[in-house]
Amino acid sequence: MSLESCLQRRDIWRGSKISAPGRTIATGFTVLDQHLPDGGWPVGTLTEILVEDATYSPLWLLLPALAALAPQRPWQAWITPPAIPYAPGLHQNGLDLSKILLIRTAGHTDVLWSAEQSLRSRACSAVLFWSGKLQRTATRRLQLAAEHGQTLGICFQNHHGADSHSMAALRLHCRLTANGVYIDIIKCRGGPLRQGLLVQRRTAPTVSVVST
Amino acid sequence: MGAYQQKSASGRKVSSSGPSLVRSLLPAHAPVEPVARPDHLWLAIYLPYLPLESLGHSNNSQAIAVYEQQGQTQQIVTPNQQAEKNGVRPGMTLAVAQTLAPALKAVARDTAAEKAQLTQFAIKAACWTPAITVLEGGLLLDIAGSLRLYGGTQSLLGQIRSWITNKALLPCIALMPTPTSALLCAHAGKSICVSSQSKLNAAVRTLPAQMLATHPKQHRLLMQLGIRTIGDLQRLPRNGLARRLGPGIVGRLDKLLSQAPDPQAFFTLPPEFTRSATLPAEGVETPFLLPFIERLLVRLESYLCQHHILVEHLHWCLAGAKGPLMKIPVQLTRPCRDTQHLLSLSQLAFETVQTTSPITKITLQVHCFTRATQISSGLFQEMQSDTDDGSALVERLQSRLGPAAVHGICIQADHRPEKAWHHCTPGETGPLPGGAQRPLWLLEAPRPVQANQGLLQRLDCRERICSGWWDDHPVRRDYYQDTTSVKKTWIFRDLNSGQWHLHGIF
Repeated sequence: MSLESCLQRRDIWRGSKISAPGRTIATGFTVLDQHLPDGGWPVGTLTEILVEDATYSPLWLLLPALAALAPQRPWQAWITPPAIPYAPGLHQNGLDLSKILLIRTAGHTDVLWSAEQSLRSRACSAVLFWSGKLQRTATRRLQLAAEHGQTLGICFQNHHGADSHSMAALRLHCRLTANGVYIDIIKCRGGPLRQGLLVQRRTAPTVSVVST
Repeated sequence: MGAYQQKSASGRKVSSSGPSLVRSLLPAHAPVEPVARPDHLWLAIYLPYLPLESLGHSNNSQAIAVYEQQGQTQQIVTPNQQAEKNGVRPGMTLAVAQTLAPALKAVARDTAAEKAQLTQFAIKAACWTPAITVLEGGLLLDIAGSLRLYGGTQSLLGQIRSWITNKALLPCIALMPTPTSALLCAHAGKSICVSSQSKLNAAVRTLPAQMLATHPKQHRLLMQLGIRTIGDLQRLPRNGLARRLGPGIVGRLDKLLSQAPDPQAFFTLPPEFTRSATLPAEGVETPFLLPFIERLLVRLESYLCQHHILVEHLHWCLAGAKGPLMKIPVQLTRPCRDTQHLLSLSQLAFETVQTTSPITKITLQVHCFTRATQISSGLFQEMQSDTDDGSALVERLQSRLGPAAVHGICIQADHRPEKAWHHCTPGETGPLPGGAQRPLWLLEAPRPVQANQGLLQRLDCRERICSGWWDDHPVRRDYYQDTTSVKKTWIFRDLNSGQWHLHGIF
């Protein structure tokens, strides 16, 4: 049996063809756009970003995409962020503050419930949430909700607590460096895995000001 | 249209002759409707036994009379039919009545209960017309605007009559072109239907003139002058009448005959909806409340539909055997009256509720209403986008997590970093000033850090913020950006204490 005839079989599928090209949104970073399938963050799926410390989540990685998505739908939900999303800073980085829906809740189930509702509602162009450890069933539910709502779902997680059996379509591991982050693509639906992609952060022009 | 009327000798006699008379007052085959419709057509409903009915003594074989304290004496207001047979009449003192009928049970009048009962009637009558006036002992409805919708005068009258005869004992219904004439006819027990202005004069001519008098002195004077009917009054010169009986009686006569305007104060809805469902005596737990919640919401929806209003927020009150347990608010971002929507929101609100004891009573309270605005739906279904305006999501989140858990954020004009932003309602925008570079994250409270040589060398972009001397939180700080290390932070040195703090993250 040749390889060609083997590939013709109906019950054989190839990894690169399992998903039809989905809707994506450009990340705004050339390196990342080149290596993610279809050139950007996948809209309509759940993306897990694993970080060492949730407080130092690389939010700047998402800002160009969030700014581009904002006009499409009424809200961008931020569920239990680890610190205050600072309005002046977000505005300087081009985010539309009137779209931000800040949800603060204590219980883990409420976080998951809010995330699912927001992903499913079609009222949010993006849903960012910071949860504790996500169970496999939870990631499955959230992935389905994101598919239903065609929403960009981003989950920031601590890389120690992350479950290796996540159902998220895209999983990235971020390590901070002095001028950006090193990204390992540890799971990617329909694309190759990569190690150590360096995404450089653009530095804003610095101004020295005295305010009294 | 031919006026149809049937007279009786006096108001009381009509009542005592039985409901069959009231039903037979209008012919089964209605005369031809006039083409031109009147601007106003007043339907007066007079309920002679309301004082008895409001106290729950509507049909009783025992002789009962409602009395009222008038100065020193107790005067009979409404005797029931059994008492009337014994000769008890309205206006008698209680002592006389008890002499005539020794077994008479006397009940004190409760005007508040009467008013409540009339309000209930008015709420029901609001499905025929919005122009309703609640008067003492009856209702006044302007039905001119509703005639076409309900298929003409006879059909509408039939509906109203069949409703009120079921609800009250021997009501008198009169339809007249002016409010005063309708009221007088109904009070006189004269069930009549006159819709044309030209027949008005003839219809009221035989009414007793006493009914226009408001004062006992006027009563006596009318008797002494030998004026028995309204027709007698009309024949007299106006000037002399006004001089002898006061100008009020002439004014009322003008209103009666449509020669002067007679504006009415219409009944407005009581600004509240409260309904309760009593649960089984042993009480139920929250998960089993759903059918009761749904039943109350269905009643709310029909109430809202009848009054063309929407609801803005609800309160669920739960009570146990020992008293009230808790209140659960349900906040809506957009007024609505859809039972399914309200039900799903209420369900969410009840999901997190834990009660200490079983619930025996559930009450739905609504205080906040708005007028319904009709929105035309699109002609082409496909042109409607798949996204909504987002309010439904906010409602859902707030129902379960509480209103304080869901916010928007906006910028506030203040130099102090912790005051340069604040929570707002989702979707609100504030001023958007520019300024020095700010971090993406701000810590809830500044975190003290150890300043070592390495840190101090990395710091860049000094920004001095001295502000807030006018309130409780003055700050004097030098902010620095640490942008060369792995974790890009925003650090300040408190100029008062010299302490270093981490405040933001880029």
